[in-house]
Amino acid sequence: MQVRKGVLELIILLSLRKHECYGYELITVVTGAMDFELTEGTIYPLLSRLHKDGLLTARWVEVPGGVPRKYYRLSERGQDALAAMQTSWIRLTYAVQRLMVDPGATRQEPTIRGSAK
Amino acid sequence: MINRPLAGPTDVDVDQGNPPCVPRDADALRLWNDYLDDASRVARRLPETERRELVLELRSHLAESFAVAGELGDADELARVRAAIARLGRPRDFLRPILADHLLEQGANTFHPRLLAEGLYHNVFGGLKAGIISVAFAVGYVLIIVFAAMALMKAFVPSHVGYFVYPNGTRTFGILADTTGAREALGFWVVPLALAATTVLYILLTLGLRATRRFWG
Repeated sequence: MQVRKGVLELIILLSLRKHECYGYELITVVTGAMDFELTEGTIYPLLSRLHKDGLLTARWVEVPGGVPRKYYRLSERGQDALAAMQTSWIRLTYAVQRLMVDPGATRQEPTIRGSAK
Repeated sequence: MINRPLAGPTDVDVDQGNPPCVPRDADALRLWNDYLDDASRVARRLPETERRELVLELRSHLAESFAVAGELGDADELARVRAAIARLGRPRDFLRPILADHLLEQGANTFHPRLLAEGLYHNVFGGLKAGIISVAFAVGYVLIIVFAAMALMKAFVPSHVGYFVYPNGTRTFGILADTTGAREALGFWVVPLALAATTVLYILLTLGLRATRRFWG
């Protein structure tokens, strides 16, 4: 399954919610948890952008007998952004699921916000 | 190159000889270094610190991938490096978003046409939405070039460039091959007007690019 960039960003932020990860580990987590094909390199521009936008913090860690790893962690700003993204995601998936169950759902409530009327 | 001089921004020293997670086989090591050199070359337009750090991160990724395959019992180092590289992908493909981002940011801030052109080019391959918007901006810049070309061509073929008024009232502004029967109304005022149009539209379009760029992807 192919995923869009925005979804991959959400998955990255979710994966970094509890603990810090380095790139390779993150890819293992992402591909292990979900069933998708991922050109592994695509994760690095995303990490770079999230880091630049201040949603992630990063630090290099020496690995005894190995190559240093760059660990990423969710920043406070990243936690806020993740909370907002989760809310949007839940609303969207809820609306889509309702449409799947009842194709006429939009006629009664034309927008996602319509449910809050 | 990659095995020697690179040091991370936090002064991590990666140059302590090749640890076990780096290939010892000469062919495997050559392939490994060629890949990282290629990544470094693709990323050459990024700020130096960012480029170095990115290459270090890819090196770290290869090392992890290589080591994991080794732990799983694959003894063929060359095959392990090949597999690690295949999974990671070609730098010129997956680094495009970073390159486009950086070039467009720099280009929009400095109004540098080459950076803008390169940034738009990389973005054309960076997904459907960003691609379409980039093509639209590129078309805008090409139209602006037409104004600059008018100013230039007025010097060489003055009778074909300008504001043409035809006896039947039709009016055309631009570069025309056939101007039979038309009267050119602006004369050499076309040059400053076209140059002013080029400058103003270039600035406006670039400011538009700067303001909307974050929402393209």
